[in-house]
Amino acid sequence: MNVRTVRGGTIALAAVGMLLLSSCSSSRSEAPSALEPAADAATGATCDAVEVGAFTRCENFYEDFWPEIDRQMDALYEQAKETDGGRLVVWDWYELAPEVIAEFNARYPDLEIETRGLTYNLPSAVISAEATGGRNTDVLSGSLLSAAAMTDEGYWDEVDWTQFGVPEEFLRLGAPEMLPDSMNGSLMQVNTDRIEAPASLDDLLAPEFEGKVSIANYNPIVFSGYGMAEGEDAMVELIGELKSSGTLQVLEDQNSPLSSGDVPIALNQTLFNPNPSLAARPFDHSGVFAQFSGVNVDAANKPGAMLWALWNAYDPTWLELRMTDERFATTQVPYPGLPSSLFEQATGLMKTNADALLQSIENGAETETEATRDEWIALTNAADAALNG
Amino acid sequence: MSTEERATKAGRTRPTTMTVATVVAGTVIFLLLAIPLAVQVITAFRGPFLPFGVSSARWSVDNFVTLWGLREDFWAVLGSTAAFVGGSTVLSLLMAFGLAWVTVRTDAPFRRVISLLVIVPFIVPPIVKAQAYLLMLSPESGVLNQLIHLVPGMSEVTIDPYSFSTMIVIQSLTNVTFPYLMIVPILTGMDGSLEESARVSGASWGQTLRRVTLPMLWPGLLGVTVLTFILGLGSLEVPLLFGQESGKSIFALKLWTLISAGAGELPQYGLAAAWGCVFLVITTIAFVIYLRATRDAERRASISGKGFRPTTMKLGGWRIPVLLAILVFTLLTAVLPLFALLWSAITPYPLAFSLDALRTQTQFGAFGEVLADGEFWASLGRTLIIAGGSATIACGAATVLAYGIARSRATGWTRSMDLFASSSVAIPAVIAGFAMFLTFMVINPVIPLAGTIAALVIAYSYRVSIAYRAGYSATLQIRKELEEAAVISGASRLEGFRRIVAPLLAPTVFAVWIQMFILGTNEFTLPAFLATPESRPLSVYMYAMINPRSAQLYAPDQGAAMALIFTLLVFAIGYGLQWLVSLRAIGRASRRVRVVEVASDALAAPPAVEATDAPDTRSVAVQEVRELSRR
Repeated sequence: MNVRTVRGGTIALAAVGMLLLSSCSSSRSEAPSALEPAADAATGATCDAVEVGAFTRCENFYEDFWPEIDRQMDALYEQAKETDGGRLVVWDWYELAPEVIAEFNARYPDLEIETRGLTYNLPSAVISAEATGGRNTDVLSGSLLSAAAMTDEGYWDEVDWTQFGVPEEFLRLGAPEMLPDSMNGSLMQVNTDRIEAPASLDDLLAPEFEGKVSIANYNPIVFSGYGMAEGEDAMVELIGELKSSGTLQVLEDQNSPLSSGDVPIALNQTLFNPNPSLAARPFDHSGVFAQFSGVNVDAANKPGAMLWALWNAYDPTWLELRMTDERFATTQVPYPGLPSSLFEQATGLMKTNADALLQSIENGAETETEATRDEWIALTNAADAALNG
Repeated sequence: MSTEERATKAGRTRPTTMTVATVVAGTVIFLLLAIPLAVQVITAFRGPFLPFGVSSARWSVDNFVTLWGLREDFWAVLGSTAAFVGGSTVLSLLMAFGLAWVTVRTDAPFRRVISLLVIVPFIVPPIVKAQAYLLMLSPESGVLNQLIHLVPGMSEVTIDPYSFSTMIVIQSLTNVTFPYLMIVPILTGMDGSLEESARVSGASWGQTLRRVTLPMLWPGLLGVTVLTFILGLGSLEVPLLFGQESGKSIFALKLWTLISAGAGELPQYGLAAAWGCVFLVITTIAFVIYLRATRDAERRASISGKGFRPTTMKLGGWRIPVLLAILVFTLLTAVLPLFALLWSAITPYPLAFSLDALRTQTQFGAFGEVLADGEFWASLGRTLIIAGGSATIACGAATVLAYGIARSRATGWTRSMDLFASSSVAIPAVIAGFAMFLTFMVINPVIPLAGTIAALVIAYSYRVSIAYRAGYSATLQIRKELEEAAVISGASRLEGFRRIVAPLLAPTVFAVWIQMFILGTNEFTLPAFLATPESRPLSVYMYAMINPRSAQLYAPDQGAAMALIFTLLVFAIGYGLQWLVSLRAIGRASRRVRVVEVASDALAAPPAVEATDAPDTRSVAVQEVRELSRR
C-alpha cells in the first residue's frame, strides 16, 4: 500500500478526531429560567398541619390545595403537548413500568414518555447528557443525598411550587425547587418463616443471626442513620463486627436468598417481593428520607416535567391506584405529608412498606434535611469504606 | 511476457478498486478499535469525570498518581484477577480438552448428543447463567446443595456459593464451550499417523498424549488459552453476582464499581480509565508473547493431504467412568442450571425446591406473559439486529482486509496493520464496553449515536479480530494461482476476489459469522455500559427482570421464562443456520461432481477419483476459473 496514502489518511483521521473532541468542550449555560403558573394563581389555603416526625402533614390537602394544583396541571398539559413535540423524558432511579406510563397517558394522552432507570448513576447521566449535547431528562429526581451532585451543579430549575398550589410546609426539607413526591428509608426485610427481626442493628450481633443477614454493596446508607445517632466511629465499629462475626454478607442479589429463606434478613429499603412470608420491619436509628422531583434546567419540555412531577406526587386517582392495585405495589410510598386517609387505604406490599416507614418515623427515625445532607454523605461514604473496603 | 512474469506483475500492481476496498476495510477496523482506546487514554489523563464538556476536565496525571497511591490495592487486584481468571481458564481448558478428546478422538457412545449438550451453556446469556448458578447453589434451598445433602455422609456438606473457589469453578463451567469449540477443530485436523507410530513403538496412550499429541497441539492450545484468559478477564457476570465479598478485587468488578457513583459523588471515569489502560498493557503483553510463541507454528502443522485421518482411541474399561464424568459435567452445566431457571419460571417468587412447593405453588403463567410482552419481542428483534449487524460488519471488513494483507508484500505497514487488526482479542469486553461508552458520549455533539442500536452494533463489532484471523488463515490456504489465472483471463483483481476468493472463503466466513452472531445474542457486558431502554437487547431486559434493583420491572419468574424461551430460540436459529450451510455444502458437492466430469473431458484433468477427493473449495475454484476463461 502507498505509504503516502497511509500517512495522509492517518493525518486526516487525527484531524477529524481532534475536531470532534474540540467540539465537545462546551460549557453548560447559566441562569436557569423561572417557570410561571397560569394566571390568577395562589389559593390562600392554610395547611391543617400535623407533625409526623420531621415531616409536616396537611390533612386538608385534597380539599383545599388539590383543586388549584389540578387546575394548574391542566394548563401545564396544554403547554407540554406543544413543547418538543409532546415528548417527555423521565430518567429516574427506576425505569417506569409500562403500566405506570399507561396511567399517566390515560389522563394526558398527547404526551409520549421515554424512561430510563439509572439508580446511583442518575446524576452522572444528567450531567453527561448536558455536557455532551444529548437529549437530557426533563424530570430530575432523587433524595437530598442521591441528588447532591445535581444540586451542587445547579441542575434544579427555579420553580416556585407554591405558585402552583403546593403547601409551603412541603417545601421545607429540601430546597424550594425540590417537590417532595415520596418517602423511603432503611428497613429490615425478614423471612418470618425462618426468623424474627431484632429491634436494632446492634442486636444482629447475637449468635443466632450469624450468616443470616445480607446487605447490597451499593446500600451502605442503611447504616447512616445509626451513624447520625451514635457517631461515625460506633457505626464503623458495628459494621466491622457484623462482618468479622460472619453475620453480614454482602450480596448483589439479596432477594432470592431472602425469599427462599437461606439468608432470611436483608438490610435494605422497601420490599418488592410478593412472597407472603416476607415482612418489612423498622429498627432503631434507621434513616428515613424524602424523595423529590423537579425540573432539569437542561430540560426540553419543562411544562411536561412539572406536570409529571405533580401528577406522580399528588394526583389522588393515581395515588389510590398505587395504594390498592398490586400492579403498582413496587412504586414508591407516597409522601408522608399527604393526608392519613391516603395511607389507611393501602393494601398488600404497599401497606407493608407504608406501615413500616410510618412506624419508623414515629419511632424517631433519623431524617435527611438540607442542613444535615453533607453529614449524611460523609457517614454513607464511611459506611461504604467499612463495608466494601 | 511469460506466465510467471505476468503473475508477478499482477501481484505487485493491484488495481485501484481492490486497494480502495482494502483501505476502506482497514479504516473501518481502525475506527472501531483505535478511537475508543484513544478516548480511554485521553480520559485517563483528563481527570476525574468526563474528559470534555465539564469544568473538572483538564490534562493531568492525577489518575495515575492516585493509582500509584493505591498500589497495594493494585497488587491485590492483580493477584485476585490472576487467581480468578487463571484458575478458571485452566479448569475450563482441562474440561474443554477432555470433552473435545472424547467427542473427536474416542469411541465413546452418544458423542453427538454430548457435543450438542456442550453448546447449551454457550447460548444462555452469561448473566442469566450466573443467576441460575446462584439459585442452584443456595446453601439450603439450592437444588445442587439439596442433592449433595441426600448423599450418605454428606448431609453436613454445603457448597458456599460466595467463596472464591466456588466462583472460579462457576466461571470455568460457564466458559467451557468457548475453548471446546476451538479445540475440536484442532483435534479433528490433527494427523493421527504420528500417534499411531508412537503406539506401534510401544508407547501407552498417556505417553503418546504427553510426548506426541500435546507437543503437536501446543501452538493451537496456547492460542485457545490466551483467548479464554482474555475472555475471562472481561467477564463481569460471575464476579458481579457472586463476588461482592470475596471477589471485589477482581478487575472487571473493580472497573464496574469505579464507574458506579458513590453517595453524593460522580463516577470516577478517569481512575477507571487509568485502571483500564494498565490492564490493557498487560493483556497486550500477553498477546505479543502469544504471537511470538506461535510464530513458528507452521513447522508443527500436522494436517497432511489425502492420507489424513484422526486416530480413534478405544475407551474399553474407561467407557463407564468417562460417561459418568460427562454426566456430572452435563448435570452441572446444562441440566441443573436449566432446571433452576425452570423452577424460577414456574414459581411466583424465589422458593426452595420441595415436592410440597411443586404441588401447591407452581404455575406456568409466566411463559404466556412473556410471549404476550411486547418489550420481549422488541428486545429480541433488537438482539437479532445488533448481533447480525455487528457480525456482518466484522466479517465483511475483516475478510477484505485479511485478503488485502495476506496478498500484499510484507512491509512494516502491512505487519503493523496485521497486528492491529488482530489485537482486539487482547481487549477485555469490560474495557471495550467502557471505552465505547466514553467514545459515544464524547462524539455525541457531532455524531449523536449514544444509546442507539447503531452504537451497539458498532460496539459489538469490536471483536473483529476473530473474523480477521480466520479470514487471514483461510486466505493463506487458497493458492494464489487461482486469482492470477483469473487476472490473466481478463478479470480485475476485485472481480477475481469476488468470483474466486470470496466463494472459497465463504464457508469459513459464514462459520465465523454464526459464532459471532451467537456470541452477540448473549452478550451482556457491552450493552451493560451502552444500552438504554430504547436500544437494549434481550440480555439486558432479562437482567432487569431478575434484578430486584429494577423495582417496577422486577419479575423473576418472567425473567427465567424469558431465558428459557430465548435459549430455545437461539438454539433453533444457530442450528437452523448450520443446517442451511450443510444444504449449501451438499449443493456444492453436487456441482463439484458435474464440474469434475466436465473438467476431466475438457482439461484432461487428473483422474476422477483424485478430483473427487479434493476439497470443496478447489472444485468450486475450478468451476469459477472455467467460467471466467469463457468470457
